[in-house]
Amino acid sequence: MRHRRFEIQIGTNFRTYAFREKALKYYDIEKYSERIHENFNLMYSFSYYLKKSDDPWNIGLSITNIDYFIINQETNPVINLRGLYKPSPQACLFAEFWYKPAGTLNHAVNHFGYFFRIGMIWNFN
Amino acid sequence: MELQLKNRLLLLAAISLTISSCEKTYFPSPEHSISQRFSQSMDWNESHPYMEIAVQSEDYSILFTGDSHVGSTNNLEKFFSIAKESNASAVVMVGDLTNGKAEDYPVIDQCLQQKDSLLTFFSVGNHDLWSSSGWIEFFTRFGPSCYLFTVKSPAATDLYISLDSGSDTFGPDQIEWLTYILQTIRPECRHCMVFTHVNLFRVRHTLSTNFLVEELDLLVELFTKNNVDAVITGHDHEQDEMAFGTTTYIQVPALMDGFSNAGFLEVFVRNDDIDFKFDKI
Repeated sequence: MRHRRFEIQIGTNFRTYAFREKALKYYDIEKYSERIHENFNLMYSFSYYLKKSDDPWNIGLSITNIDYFIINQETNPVINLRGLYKPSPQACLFAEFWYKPAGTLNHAVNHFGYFFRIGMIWNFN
Repeated sequence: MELQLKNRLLLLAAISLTISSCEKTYFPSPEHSISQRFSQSMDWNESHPYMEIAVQSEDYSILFTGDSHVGSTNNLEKFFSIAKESNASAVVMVGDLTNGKAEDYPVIDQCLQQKDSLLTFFSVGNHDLWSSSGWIEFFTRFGPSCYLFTVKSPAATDLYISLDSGSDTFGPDQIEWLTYILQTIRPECRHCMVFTHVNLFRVRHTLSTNFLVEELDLLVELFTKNNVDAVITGHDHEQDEMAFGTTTYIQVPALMDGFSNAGFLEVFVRNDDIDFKFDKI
């Protein structure tokens, strides 16, 4: 859902942790204990953008647990500051700073880590 | 229009810098971070040798409970009277002893007097660290949040490791310590159980957070490689038991008053076997 400069995304994910075949044999892991499922983990993203979406450049700040790039879907909220630039309708250059705290709300929040990411998204449409 | 944009840009930059540079400004935080708590725990451990419980038989039991969330103490009092009547070799409380208010600690002090000589071990929970003096209150009463103890029977020794997950992470120093313990002491022991507050996996839909995925992957590998028999946690309040790899991950039911499924866990060690039994309070 996007309204002017605000964007909200809500969803859910299912995670499965599993051992690979090699690990099952090496550690002699029983069939019944080879995987764990987590069902209906909440996904969310609350973003504020400096400009409306039709601008060629934009800067956004999000509190989210969605990382579209990696498969390890977090449950903790992550702070994400993102810069976008569209040199053409198909191409979008981006630079992101992600800050990961451990714990939130009722937890004793602790620094966990951060990372930078830059890249280009090409829209084939 | 240009001025508005500049103002918004400045505001966005200020908010971003503030929340990314200092976690204390946007969410509650303990006075002492995990690395400080770990360091204090290690200092304490240096001057206090790890406890060794001697049992006369190969069969013994330990009771695990957590999330008493004092305030009120009805269930905790009932638990201690059950524990005293049992033949348990020790009691372990896996965090969230209090609701986190400074006034909760004198209440739990009074309640703990009832346990008499019952050997009790404590792990710190996120609620215990809620107030700015939470860690000091915990540390001065119960000692370190990261330590180990052993149970020595005539034929073997079992290892129990307490870890501090009150900040949703063990932190690099504690993980290094855990790795060292698992690689050096664990091979000499028959069974190994780890207890901490925050559950590693989310078995039901809940808004509470737990470990970040990167850390979880590392921990599962560590527990599997070193043949940790069980990881016993609280935090979620609902009881659960699941096997993953060579380790059983157990969530102890909350003990807090007013919780309909309030209870505790009995761990029975019988030679090479370990049995887990949930009991209602």
